[in-house]
Amino acid sequence: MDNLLQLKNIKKVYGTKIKTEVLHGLNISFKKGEFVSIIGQSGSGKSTLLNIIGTLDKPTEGEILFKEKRLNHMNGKELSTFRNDNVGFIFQFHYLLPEVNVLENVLMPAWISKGRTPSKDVIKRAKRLIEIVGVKDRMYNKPNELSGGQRQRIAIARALINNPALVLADEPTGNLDSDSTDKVYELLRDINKEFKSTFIIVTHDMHIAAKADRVIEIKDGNVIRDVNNIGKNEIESFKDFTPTSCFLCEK
Amino acid sequence: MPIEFMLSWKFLKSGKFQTILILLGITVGVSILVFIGSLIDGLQKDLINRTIGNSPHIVITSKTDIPRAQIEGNNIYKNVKLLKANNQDNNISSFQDYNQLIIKNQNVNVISPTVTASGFINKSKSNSPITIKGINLDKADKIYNVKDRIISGLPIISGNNILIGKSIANDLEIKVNDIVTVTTPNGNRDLFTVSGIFDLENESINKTWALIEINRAQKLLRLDGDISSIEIQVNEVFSAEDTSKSLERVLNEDFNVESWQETNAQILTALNSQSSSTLLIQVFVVIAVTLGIASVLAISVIQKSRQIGILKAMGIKTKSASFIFLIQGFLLGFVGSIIGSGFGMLLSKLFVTFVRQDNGEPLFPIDIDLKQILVVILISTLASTFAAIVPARRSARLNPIEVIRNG
Ligand SMILES: Nc1ncnc2c1ncn2[C@@H]1O[C@H](COP(=O)(O)OP(=O)(O)OP(=O)(O)O)[C@@H](O)[C@H]1O
Ligand SMILES: [Mg+2]
Repeated sequence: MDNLLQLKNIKKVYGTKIKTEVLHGLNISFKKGEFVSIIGQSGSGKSTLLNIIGTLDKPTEGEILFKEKRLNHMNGKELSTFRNDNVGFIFQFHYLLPEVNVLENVLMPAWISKGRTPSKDVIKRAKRLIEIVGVKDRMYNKPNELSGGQRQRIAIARALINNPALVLADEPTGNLDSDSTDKVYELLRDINKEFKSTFIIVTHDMHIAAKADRVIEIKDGNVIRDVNNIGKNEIESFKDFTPTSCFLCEK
Repeated sequence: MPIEFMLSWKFLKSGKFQTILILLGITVGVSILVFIGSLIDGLQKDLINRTIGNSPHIVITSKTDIPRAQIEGNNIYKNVKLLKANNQDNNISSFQDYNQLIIKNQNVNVISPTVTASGFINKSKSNSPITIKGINLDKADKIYNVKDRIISGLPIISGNNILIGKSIANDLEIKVNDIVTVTTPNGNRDLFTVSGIFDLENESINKTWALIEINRAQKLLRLDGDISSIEIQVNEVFSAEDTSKSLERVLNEDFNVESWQETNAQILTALNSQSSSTLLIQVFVVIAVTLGIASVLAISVIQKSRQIGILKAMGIKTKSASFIFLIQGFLLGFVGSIIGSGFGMLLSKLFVTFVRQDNGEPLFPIDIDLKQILVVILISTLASTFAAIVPARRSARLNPIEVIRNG
């Protein structure tokens, strides 16, 4: 598999007077179609890393190559276009626009890229995505008329509307119960298989991490583990990360 | 639909209360602008009409200002200023020289030579002081509109016919076809037939004016071919001042040329200061409304920062993000000022309908000038778009990271 994304010596320093280096020169490559989860303690730098990958934030040092193209020197306008074309975001809080209905929310990235009302084909695609994420009968409702899980699934559909090469999710199931978490995860996995997008998912949930193709663990701004799960079974890989107190293992 | 437009619309729709609040503010502001504008305009036009409706726009008199009577060695024609004819023996035709100079001016519409003198009118035993005006009826009519305002009799002054004001007729109980005696201060007198009675809607005119043929007046006053003044009506009323200046240059130094603006300088100064205070009020209304819109939109941009942040993460351009608020300002201003203009016009109509003089007539006609209303709509729309600049810039500067980090 080819590399989709390469991070070279990524450093991030916060603050001007009191400088704190949060990321200490990370080197990571992501392959096309890979389903990666990033884990680590709170404050270890996961979100910072994800935001840098998504070009919402700039690294203090180092460079990002996306399909061999350097992103560092793009200006704000170019980055906006880049994000719109190539990156789908799913955040912990759903961040749907409360002013528009479900369908319009899903269409928003397409609306942004075209600048005006999307074509019939795109609307069809949006409806299909809503069907895939299982909220078809709520298509014309406002987001506040949906459950938390449904909202998160709509956010997933929205992240996929422009068929991005890269989907970034920061704790997408952070505020869902374990049932919904499983469903959302299954959904992400299915979509990954169907659309062949690269998924990078930051999570605290070891069950989700264990099901990924690859798990990267970050501690204090360094990659301390980069484990390939392919070929292992779920319980095996789960044990790798949670040697103690494992309810899945006990089953 | 362009995304910026769609989002502004959705944002406005979702913030119903704020939207209605701003619209109400603009509506009230604009209706005040329109109402005050048309009120003051109507008032001023009415005042100017009353002022110049019964007077010539420009009057040319002689500068030498020597009463004929003095030339003749006695002292009775105190108030008669004379324009010396080129040729003493000629009548009105001797003014053709001036006439030709004056008529060259593009703005001049009517030239009416006039003889004016004080005198007395007498019927049976009663008499009354009058102003004798010797005119050419066709020409003077274009200035005073006498023919249409004859309330009884006919508009004829040829021969020994005379037209008199309504109040003279009332005071002396004169009816059409009555014979009256007109006496000049130096004792010349003649009999005239009252052919008609006019009402020029001005009490002092109705009470004093008596109109006779100019030749007849010259004969009565022993003026030979001299006249008192040349009265002029112009096409562009407000350029009368300029026209008067250029006539002054064309004519020789012996003439006094005075425009209605000079004659009514005081009224005009009053009108001007009224206009500037009206303008000041209007400017402050616009400023107040603009500040109101700016502050509500500034709150709205903070309320929507989550949405703006997520839109930016999804790749909306900075320019579009600020346009969302500019368009909101524009829409609010445009819709609000159209509704406001409607209300303003309604208010003006109500004012004319309900605020009346004792006799049931409106105080003055209110002047609803569509061009002015368009200007008001334009200014209000611009102002409220302008008010959206601060929120728009805030929206442009908003960093999506902050929103995403802080939930
Ligand atoms: N704007 C900022 N200024 C200064 N320090 C910051 C800023 N943003 C983040 N940090 C610091 O950077 C470190 C990494 O933060 P980050 O949000 O990436 O952690 P995280 O791994 O996502 O944690 P969590 O699991 O709690 O979300 C933290 O110590 C945090 O305090
Ligand atoms: Mg985080």
